[in-house]
Amino acid sequence: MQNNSGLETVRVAMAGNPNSGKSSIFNALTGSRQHIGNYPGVTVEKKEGMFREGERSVHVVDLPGIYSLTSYSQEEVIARQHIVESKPAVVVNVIDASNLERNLYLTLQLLEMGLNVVIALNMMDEVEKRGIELDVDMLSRRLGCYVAEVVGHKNIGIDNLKKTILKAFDRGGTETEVIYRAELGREVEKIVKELKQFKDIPYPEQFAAIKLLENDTEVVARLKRQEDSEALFNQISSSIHRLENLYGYPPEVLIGDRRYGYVSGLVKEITIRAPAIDRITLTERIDTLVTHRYLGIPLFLLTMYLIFWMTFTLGHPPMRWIEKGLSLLTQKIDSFWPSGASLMLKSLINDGIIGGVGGVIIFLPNILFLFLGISFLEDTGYMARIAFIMDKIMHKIGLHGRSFIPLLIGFGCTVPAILATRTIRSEKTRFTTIFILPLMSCGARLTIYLMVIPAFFPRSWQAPVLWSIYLIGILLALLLAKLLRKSLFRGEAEPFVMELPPYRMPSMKAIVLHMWDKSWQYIKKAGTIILAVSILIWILLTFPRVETKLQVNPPSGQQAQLSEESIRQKQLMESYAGRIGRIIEPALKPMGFDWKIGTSFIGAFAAKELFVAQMSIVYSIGDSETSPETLREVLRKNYSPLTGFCIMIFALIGTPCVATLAVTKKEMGSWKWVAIQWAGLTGMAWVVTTAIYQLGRLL
Amino acid sequence: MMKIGALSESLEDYLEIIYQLIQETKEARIKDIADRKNVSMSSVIPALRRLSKENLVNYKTRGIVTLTSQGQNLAARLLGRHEFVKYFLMSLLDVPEEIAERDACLFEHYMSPETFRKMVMFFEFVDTCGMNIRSHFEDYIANLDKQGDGEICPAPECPFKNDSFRRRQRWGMVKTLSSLSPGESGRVARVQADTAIRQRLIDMGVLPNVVITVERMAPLGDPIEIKLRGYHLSLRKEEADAIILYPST
Repeated sequence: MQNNSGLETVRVAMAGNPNSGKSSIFNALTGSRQHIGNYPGVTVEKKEGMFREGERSVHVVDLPGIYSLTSYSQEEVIARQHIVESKPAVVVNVIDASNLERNLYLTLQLLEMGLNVVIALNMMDEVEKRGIELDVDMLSRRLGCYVAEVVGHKNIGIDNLKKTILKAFDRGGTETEVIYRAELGREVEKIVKELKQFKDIPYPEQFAAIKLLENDTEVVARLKRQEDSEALFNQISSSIHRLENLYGYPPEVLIGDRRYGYVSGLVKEITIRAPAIDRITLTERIDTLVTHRYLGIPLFLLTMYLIFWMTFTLGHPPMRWIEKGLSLLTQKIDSFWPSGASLMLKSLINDGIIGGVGGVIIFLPNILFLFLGISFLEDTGYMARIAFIMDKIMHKIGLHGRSFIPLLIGFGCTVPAILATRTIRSEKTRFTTIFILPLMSCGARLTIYLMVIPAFFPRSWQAPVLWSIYLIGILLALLLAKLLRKSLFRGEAEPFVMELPPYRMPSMKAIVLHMWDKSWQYIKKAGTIILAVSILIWILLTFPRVETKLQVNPPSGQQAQLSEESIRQKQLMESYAGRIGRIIEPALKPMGFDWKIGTSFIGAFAAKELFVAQMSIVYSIGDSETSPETLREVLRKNYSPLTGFCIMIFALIGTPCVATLAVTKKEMGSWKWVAIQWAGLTGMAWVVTTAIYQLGRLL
Repeated sequence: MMKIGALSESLEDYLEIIYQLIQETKEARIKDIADRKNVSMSSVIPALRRLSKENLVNYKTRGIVTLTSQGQNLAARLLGRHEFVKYFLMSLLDVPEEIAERDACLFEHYMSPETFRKMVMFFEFVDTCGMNIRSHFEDYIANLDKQGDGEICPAPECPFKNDSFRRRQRWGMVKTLSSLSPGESGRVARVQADTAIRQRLIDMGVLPNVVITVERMAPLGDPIEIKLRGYHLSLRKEEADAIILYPST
């Protein structure tokens, strides 16, 4: 293949077990020339990159980490699909040399698919440190494919790997022959014979035959669609029956046994020297501590506390810089126009764009630090332990141990929390987690509570009220999770068969890349969808314009001095948002809200903390006097404590903010889910708030 | 762990009786023990003293007798052995129940561990070997009957039913992975899970004859961490329930 720069393009896919160090090799191979997107139709990350070697440009796709090539997990289906459909010229199989047996199990299957496999034997430093010596040439000869030794995170052996990839490309294939012996082999042969009559099977015949014996849903379905497949399926069921009778195990156990049997023989053969004693590794020593019966949970909580502390304490100064920068920008824009002129454009830029997008950008330092922490947890291997520790609780509500971290982050901000759900492997569990996340009361909502609670409740009540709001959120989340797992995301609980990988020192490069990637996603969101919605909300709040001549010709002496504040109030009342607020007032009434509260909630759609600002405008409290006390005074005068509580409950449950919706769309892949989530939560908010208000009035 | 045969036959019997009484009526009184052993209460006391000295029972002059964990362990093994021998005699050799029961009572105390192990292996072989030995055996037993007094086969049910694993579990020959404590290990006999989970377990290398060691439980008791093929894996107890092992000793 030739591309426009005249270079020959070689397409390569990278496959390997999770935790085999695949990403670090991918990073080392492609440097910063990466592109991260999604596989079509699903939300599994697809990483692509390229490098140049001589006269060729090599395009690399990093497949999701997999243990096998069955069709039971999304990652495996995607990896297989990619291999079948885009037919990479070379498949680089990254293998953790310190865990050869399980890693080579996948290798065998890749070879069986007839792929041009190159083995990247990773973590050779660790193997040497343990005093193990491997006969790499023998491995290469036995498997019939090229093997390159590498230490991914130290950039060792990468050049050799590049050369080996091209050597394999030039050779055009491996010299491997996977043979199944004895009865299994005979049955495989029989099925292969039947398969010969079908033309467009995308797999090598032997691989397909094995998959059919394993009753692989995808391959079976594909062949069922073929015409005249009856004889084939008769042969398959008779083969399965015969093997089961003969060996007492279903064929998939037999096949797995043969593969592992071959692999463990191979490992013995290539191990020249291995220390006799199985000494206690560092990982085991760390694990006795961090998964300790009594210390495990406190240590985890401490770790999370440290990460949150870092997020907020270290994130604070840069946040202030951004804040200052934004206000400086606002002033600059203010002074750019002579006072009074071009009010509209100025307001759009200052109130609409900077107000909306700026409100989101300001959290960027927090996001950076939070993902620095999360990447660290993930790359060291501690994340798997957290799932291990917390799974019992999460499993009770139909979620997975890995759901815990996102839920915890949700108390800070829902947006990074949704991004963090990527570590959950099952889609149903992941979607359920995303759905309930807005119920974890985020930091922005805290500003509302801090405004409202002191307005209505005596000091001794304040803490219990705040506590009860967080608790209501958590309880509703548990309830909703259970409900969702029984309705919208029904299905078997994800089996918890999870590797606890050895602890490893993460490479700084990988962590920074990961952090940058997540933050860039966040910035992109702020620049696109959030920008658009901010402008929309600004329009709703600004149009139609109120006649400014009010200011010039006061109709009566009473209003002779119309302050700027009352113009803003008038403006908001007459705006679309104000009108919508009044139109929907009947729907708000059962919750004890008037149109002013409703309108403020429309404004809060851009970011929850804007509710407070909106209320100030509705009650025409000027900038000069926006001390929290003035607003509280007004609230106290106009509403009952019950309404105050209802405001908080509605803010807690209903109308997730724009940023949340945008990220949900990205992570769940469809606006349909966004609509369901938004409507569902808002509906739930209405029901709960109404119930509380109506019950509260009876008391 | 105390070895079978270290105590006298009579003391081992006492231990089993106490175990059974606790299982049946939740407690073992001296009078009940005497009744079941068919001896006087005064001869129970010295036996209990002996057992107490061996740290197998908790016994105070008056009242209820309980088993220490060691005593419980030994009694359970004795009973499992008894039940296995009886079943072996009845199902494989077609010995009538009364005789099988009486012989099992003797075997359980005196049979050497080596013979017991070989008997177990033989039973395993007959039961799991796929080479149709099973039906050969059924023919054999049927013929035995005909050679005798010509009656119809006394065992209308096939002795090798699907629940054989549960039976072997009672005899202590197999255990589920979830019932092992941290530090214990075993060799996989089979995996009884749904297709999806089974395939996942196969891919992770949980296959017949693989040795699995339980490393620890999560702080809240579930999931568990196991070690196999040189790496660490965690499973929920419900998944570990489906993995059946021959415990290593």
